[in-house]
Formats: sequence, C-alpha cells, structure tokens
Amino acid sequence: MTLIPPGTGRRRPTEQEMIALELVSGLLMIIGIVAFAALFYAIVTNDAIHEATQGPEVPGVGLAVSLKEPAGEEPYFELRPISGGQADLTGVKDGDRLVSIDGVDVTGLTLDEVQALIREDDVKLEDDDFQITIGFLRPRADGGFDSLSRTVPKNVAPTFLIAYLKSFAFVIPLIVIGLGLLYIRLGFRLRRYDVVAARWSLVAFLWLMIGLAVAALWSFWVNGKGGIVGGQAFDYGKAVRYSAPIALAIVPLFIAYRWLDKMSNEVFSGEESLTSRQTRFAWTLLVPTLVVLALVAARPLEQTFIKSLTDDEFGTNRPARFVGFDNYKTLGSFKLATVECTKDGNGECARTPNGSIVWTMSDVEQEEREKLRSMTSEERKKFKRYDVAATWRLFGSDTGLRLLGRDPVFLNAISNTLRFTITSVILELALGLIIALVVNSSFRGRGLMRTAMLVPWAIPTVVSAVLWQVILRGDHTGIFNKLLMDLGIISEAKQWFATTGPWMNSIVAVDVWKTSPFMALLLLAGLQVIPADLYEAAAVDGASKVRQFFTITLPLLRPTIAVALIFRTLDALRVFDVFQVLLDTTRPSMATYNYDRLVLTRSDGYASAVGVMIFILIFVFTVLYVRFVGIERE
Amino acid sequence: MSVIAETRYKRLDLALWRKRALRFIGRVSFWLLVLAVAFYTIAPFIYAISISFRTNSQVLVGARYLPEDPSLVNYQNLFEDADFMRTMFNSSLVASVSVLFSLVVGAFAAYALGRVRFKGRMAVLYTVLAMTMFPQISILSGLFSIVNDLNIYGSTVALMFTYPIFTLPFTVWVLTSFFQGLPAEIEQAALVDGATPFQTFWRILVPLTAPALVTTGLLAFIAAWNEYLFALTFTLVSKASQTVPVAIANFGGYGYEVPVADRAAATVVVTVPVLVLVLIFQRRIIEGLTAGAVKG
Repeated sequence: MTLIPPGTGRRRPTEQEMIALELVSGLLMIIGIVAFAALFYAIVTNDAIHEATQGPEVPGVGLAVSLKEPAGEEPYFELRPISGGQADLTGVKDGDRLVSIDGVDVTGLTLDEVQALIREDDVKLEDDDFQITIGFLRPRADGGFDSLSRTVPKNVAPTFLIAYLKSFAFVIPLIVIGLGLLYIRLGFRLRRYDVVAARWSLVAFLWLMIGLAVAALWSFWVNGKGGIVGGQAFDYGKAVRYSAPIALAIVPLFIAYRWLDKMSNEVFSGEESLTSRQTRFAWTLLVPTLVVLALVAARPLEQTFIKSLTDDEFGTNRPARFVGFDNYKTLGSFKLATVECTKDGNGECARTPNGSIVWTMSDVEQEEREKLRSMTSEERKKFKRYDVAATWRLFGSDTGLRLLGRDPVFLNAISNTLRFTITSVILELALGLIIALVVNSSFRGRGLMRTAMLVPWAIPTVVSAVLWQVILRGDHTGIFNKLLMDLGIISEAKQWFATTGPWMNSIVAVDVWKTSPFMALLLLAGLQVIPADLYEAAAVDGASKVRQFFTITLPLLRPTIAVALIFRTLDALRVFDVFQVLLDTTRPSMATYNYDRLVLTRSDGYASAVGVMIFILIFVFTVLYVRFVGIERE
Repeated sequence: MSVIAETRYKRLDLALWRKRALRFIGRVSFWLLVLAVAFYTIAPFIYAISISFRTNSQVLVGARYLPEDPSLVNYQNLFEDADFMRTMFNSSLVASVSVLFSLVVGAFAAYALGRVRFKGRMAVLYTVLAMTMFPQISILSGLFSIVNDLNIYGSTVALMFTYPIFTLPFTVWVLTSFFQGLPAEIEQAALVDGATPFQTFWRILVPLTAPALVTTGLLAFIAAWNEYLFALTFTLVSKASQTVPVAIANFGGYGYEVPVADRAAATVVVTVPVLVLVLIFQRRIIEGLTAGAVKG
C-alpha cells in the first residue's frame, strides 16, 4: 500500500481500511464504466437503429411468391405473407393467387421476375413510392375465386441519424455520460482521502441506491403485469426474475455507503467551507426534481424540435426523412395583396347572403394559378399554393387588404389567438380591478363575496365551456337569449357561436367570466399591502376618491398588475380548452391547430413545427412584454 | 341673531343635505355594484343547477329561469352511469398520484431553493419559473411519441407520467416562496442543537410547512383535475381511462340530440367536490395563489 493519506485526518487508516477504500473507489469507477457500457448496449440493440444499419428484417413488402403448377390447371403464383412484415396486417392470406402488381399483369412473367418485382430491395428513402398495390384471387370454399386488391407498404429502414435521434438524441445520453464521468472522477478523488470527495460519494451512492430501488419496483411491476398497462394475471416468477438482480445491486452500494459514512469523519482529511457544504446539500435535494423535469419536459421538448425538421407521420410505414426547415417555411410564409370588391348594380360593394363582401382575386392568387397550370400532376400534388387567410376592408373603401399564406389556417389561428388574447386580457384586467376594488372596501358580506369569487375559478375550464354552451344556446332554449329578449334588447334568438355570428366575442366572454375573479384575487393581494394611512392623508388634503385612485392606488398597484398581466397573457396565448369545446376546427387557436394536425391528420412532423412556432412566439412575446410592462424584480 | 348669520346657517344646512344625498347615492350604487358582481360570478353556476333539475325534453321546449317540475332524474341517471363514475375515479386517481409525487419531490427542491444559498440557485429558480409558464402544447407531439414508445398510450399511466410537467414546477415554485417566508433562526437553532441539515429539514421545517403543503397540494390537485389537453390527447380512444373533463366535453355528444340537462347535471356533480374543497380551504387557497403569483 503506497497511498498514505497526506492529511490532517483524525487518524491514519489501518491496512484493512486502505483496502476497503480501494474497493469503494473501484466501485465508483465501475459504476461509471457500467453506465457507459449500458448506454452503448442500448444503442446497439435498439430496434430502429438495428434496422437502420442492417436493413429491414423483412425486405420489400414481406410477401413470398412461389409458382404452383397443379396438374390439369393453369400455373399460378401463390402468395404467402412473411411474418413480421406488413402484408399480413393489410389482409393478404396464405394461398392467395397473385394476378397483378401495381396494375401490371403478371401472367407470362417468370418466377424470378415476379419475386424481384415484389421484393423491390432497392427501395430508397429518397423514393416517394413506399407501397405496391397487388391484385390477387382468393379461393372460396365453393371452388370459385374472389378478385381482391390490397395496397401493401414496403418495409423501409430509417436512416441511422433519424433512428438515433428519435430513440436517444441528446438529453439522456448526455446525462448518462455526465454522471458516468462524475462517478469515475469521484473514484479517483476518493483515493486521495479527500473528505469533500467522500461526502460527494455518499450523495452519489445514496441517489444511486434510491434510483435502483425505484427501478427494481418498476421492473417488478412492469414485468409481472407484462407491460405497463398489461391486463393479464400477475406473474410473480417473471417479476422476481427481472427485479431481483437490480435489487441485489443495491447491496454492495449499501455496504460501501455505510463504510464511507462511518469513515468519512475519521480517516479522511481536508477542510470544507460552509458554502461548498451547502451547495452539495442543495444539489442533493434537487436531484429528483431535475431528473423528473429532464424526463418529462426536456426530453419531449427535444423530440419536438427534432421531429419538426422531418416529415414524420403517424400510422404510416414510411420512415421519417429530414426536410430541413420546410415545415417552418410553409407555416411562416405569407404575402399581402390588395383586392377590389365587386360592385353590385348600385355601385356598392356586393355582398353574399350572410353579409360578407365579395372580393376580386388578388395578383398573388393569379400567379399561383398560372404556376399550377404549368405543372405536371406530380408537381401539383406537392405544391402548396398561397391561399386566402383573411381579407380586411380598408377604412370603408372599395379596397381590401388580403393576407395569403401557404398554410392559411395557421395564419388564422395566430390572428384568432392574438385577437382573443388582447381583448380577453384587457377586459379581465378592467373587470378584475373593479371586482378587487369592490371586495377591498369593507362591507357586510365581504367574506361571502370572496367565496363567490372563487366559484368560476374552481370550475374546470372545460366544464365552464360546456356550461356556457348551454347558456348561450343559439335558439329559444338558450337562457341568455331569453334574458335579452325579456329585457327587450334583442327581438329574436341570436346564434352566439355560429361562423357568421359574434363567436369571438362569445369565446372571450366565456374566458373573461372564468378568469377575471382570479385576476381580482391577484390584484386584491396587491391592494391589501397599500398602507391605509396614505389614503387618510390624501383624504385630509381633500383629494377625491377618483384622484386617490389615480395617484395612490394605480401607481402602487403597478407591479402587481404587471405580474398579473404577464400570467394572464401567457395563459391566453396558449388557450386550448374553450376553442376546442366550443368551436369547430375551421376556427382554431394556435393550440387547437397544433392538436388537430397531430391527432386528426396525424402529421407528426408538421405538428411539431407548429409546436415549436408557438413556443417561439410565446417566448418572444414574453421577452417583449417584460421589457415594455417594465416588471422590476429583486 | 343677525340676518347674515342666519343665511350662513341655512347654507351650511344645504351643504349638509347635499353631502348626505351624495353619500346615499354612493351607497346605493356601491351595493348595486356588489350585487352585479355577485350575480355575474355565480349566476351561471346557479343556472346549471336549475337546468339540471329539468328533463331533456323540458329543456328543448324553451329556456326557463327556474325548473317547472324539479326532478332528480338526471342525477339518478348520472350516478347509475358506470362509465361516468369511472371517469370520476380516474380523475381522482391521476390527480392524487401526480400531486403526491410532486409534493414529495418538490418539497426537497423547494427547501434547497428557499433556504440554502448555493451556486446555480438563480438558474434553477428561473428554469422552474419558466416551466410554470411553459406552453404545454408545444411539447405535445414530442410527448406523444414518448408515450407511444413506453406503450402507455390510452392509459391513465400516461396521464400520471405527463402531469408532473405542470404540477411539479408549480409545487416547487409555491413551496419555495413558503420556505423563504420562514424565519432564518429555525435552522440556526437546530444546528446549535446538533441536528444535521436533513434532520432540520425533515423534523422541523416539513412539519412547520404542513399547512403550506396542504394548500399547494390542493392547488396542484385542482390543476390536475381540470387538465384537458393531455387527457384528451392520450385517452380519447380509450373510454375506460378518460378523465372528467374529457368525459364532460364528449358527454353524449355523439348522438343526434345534445343531452343538455344531463350535461348540466354532470357539470354540477364534477364541480361540487372542487367547490367544497375550495370553500373549506378558502383562505389558504387565496394565500397560496397569491404567493405563487405575486411574490415572485
């Protein structure tokens, strides 16, 4: 034993203790190496990556063809789906007789030619043709045949980069590598009998043990049930088989932990400052939160960014390809053009029956038409032309300003969300301020009033949307229509959410009802910290209530208003529930548009780009907002 | 008494009356304002209760302020509806699990952020704050593939897995401000008595913040109970694991006739538990909400 502690430890370690220390530091290094190895193993054995490097398990469309030549009959090609391929999923069965491939008759071809056609091993990701259509005859029980046709997707491997990025990407490998290096470094430092290293090692052991315990429980449950949501009877044998090794790995860690804990104050040396001690304690406590946030937030965020650069789609066999910033280009492209309205007989702008103005076609639309006309049908399929998002009449003149985009619905979603945000936040601030002022003055029943204020806040947003749907029903069964008719404000029932009706105002009203009490609560908290003697002094000086409000209340409430405004604005920008429940998909908010792209059209890559756009828009908005509203902190 | 004095007296009298009249008008308009605010905040919910006592066919005849023939048939149907009862159970389960988890994990982090000065504290604090305001929609598609990869799509586990995205940062943020509010002497006293930092945290500070834990947990619970986006995305296809908001939004919505009265009854049923909680913990909730938002 050459390593003699340099230090100021209380005593020199004994021979056995030196050996034990070597073992413990070795354990730390082994843990680090195991982490690297596990990461490498996971990457190598990953299905998608394996497919990317080795080619798909079942090439082509996964159909085997054999030539049958029964006596006294015409020879025919018999089909047999290869298990694991796509063909048996699409409903091709053993014994089906091949007739045609992609509309080409196969009679007269040799077996080799047919097999080559059906395997098409040379399919490249660059091709757009990921499927073949086969026509076949299926023998019936009575000896006849059904003539059928199926479209079978080809098995195509993703590129290595896509496979890696979709399964691993950066967050988790970086965490694993970082932790591995940390453990190895700790192992080295421990051999120097450094007390700080010993204490950090304790933390490292502690969290690793907790992590392993969680992993063991998880593995027990998942393997026992046969999947996280499996429905079979619990298989204890399997559960124990898989979780016991993980649980056993805790034992050496625990021994090392106990030994290090006992020894750290005896044979280790060195001084540790209070700051360093506190820092270690704080990070120890932060570990679980950081791990959870990395898994449930950072990882999905990273996935969204990666997928937004691809043309990934759910429910297709075609692997995703990188398309660069194409999704963003489509989303962000817009053009402005002027249009004239068509005149009716009186020289006024002509209107459709529901009251909207009939506009002429803009130059941009003309151009796009010309382009389309000169294209082949293949090109046309891929071409996304500029379409009308909205047209605004300019100051009552005959000219209109038209907004066009490659994705006009998204432009509409942005404009809807902005309109919604601006009107609802302003109204909520005004109403919230009034409510807060009312509740802040003392009167009998004030407590009751505060309770009442919590009612809209406590109702789930979706439930409040449904509730308002009932209240604002567009016929005589709607109570709001009845109320207005009883009061003589309107003479016939109004359609509050119809496309031609005041739907934006209705949506805003629903949101304002739900959130202005919350706004009022925030403002109330701000009001209550304004010292009362300020008002007394102002009253003595003869300032009116109105004056007091503008010279005392408003300036002192400014920071609270700023915070409340930011909270509400960010909330309003991501509005989802009310739009989703109350309106159809033609009038989306940014969030509902993202949801529709993801769930209804299943265009995953595009939806991810929408998500990133929303993220960026809200981020920019926040930064500008904090600048302008001038929120000062700490 | 001179004439001048008399007129002055009268003038004073007039001024007094005018003052009184103004005050009276002020009083009346103030109370009208109070009534208006009260009406505005609770009338819609009262109307939901009123309509829930009518039958569907009555509702379709025309709107009424009060039910013509109050009956409990909608509630009876609702409580006999096994599907709806299961959504209530799912919601409670998902919300409880994710909130308990967030409280345990979040309390550690909040203690570190609220009581300990260390390098990187502000960075972590701002990350957490950013996460509380994070637009969840923008990670929806990333989350979707992870949920698919984990094979938990369409189960309540998917929701328990994803809800900490908003419950955890919220819990950490609110609890941090509670921990900051405690006097600094507590730890010093404990340290003098020879307690380790962990003992100080577990034996002294956690019991002291038990009320704050309850409040924070309640607020996070309400947020999880009300969550719609993730619930809709991950459980739309599997009825058995839907939560209350999804069920309410789709309540009988597939049929030809919209069951207005049943929907109203369902609205009342899912709101009442939350309302009761809110009324019991009213003061705490207001404190918690404003602590989370205003103190910063």
